[in-house]
Amino acid sequence: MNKQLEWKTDFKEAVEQARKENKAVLFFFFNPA
Amino acid sequence: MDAVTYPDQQVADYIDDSFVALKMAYDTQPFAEDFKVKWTPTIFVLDQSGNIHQTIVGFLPPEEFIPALELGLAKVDFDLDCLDECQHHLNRILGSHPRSASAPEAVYLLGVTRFKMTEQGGALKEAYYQLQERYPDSDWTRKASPYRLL
Repeated sequence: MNKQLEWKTDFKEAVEQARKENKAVLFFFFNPA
Repeated sequence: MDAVTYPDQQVADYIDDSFVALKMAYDTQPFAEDFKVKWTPTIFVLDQSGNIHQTIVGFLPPEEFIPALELGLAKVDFDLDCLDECQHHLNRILGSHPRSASAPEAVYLLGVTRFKMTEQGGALKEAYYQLQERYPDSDWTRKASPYRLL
């Protein structure tokens, strides 16, 4: 079973999770059009 | 990126292991303005305080995206003076992705990291000669060229 990426959409939540899990943040800006 | 790179299983596994993934539309305020986003895709590698250490603008295929992100992790550690960890990331790039576009910069940064750890100019000189041998046409080889005089 392939694992899907789980994307956060809240900046503060992403940074807090990165601290908890000792990870960096990949911040992706995209064009939805 | 959404069609090709992110669905790639190696990319997904790599990101999941080392990053928290955060996604926003290019015009989401105040972030688009704060991060000065002018084009898409734009990808930033941030540390745990939300500071930028690597910026990627434009599409990268999976085989280039993974080493580019690893270089971002190396830059986080370099900027935070975690030099052992920085070396670890750079060696991973050179071991697993030696033909990637990120590899020449990894050799350069590895030389600088080793110099900072040892204060021996030979680390910089060695980086130049490795660049000259492996990536003679790279901008990073030109940037390292003064080190041959050390």
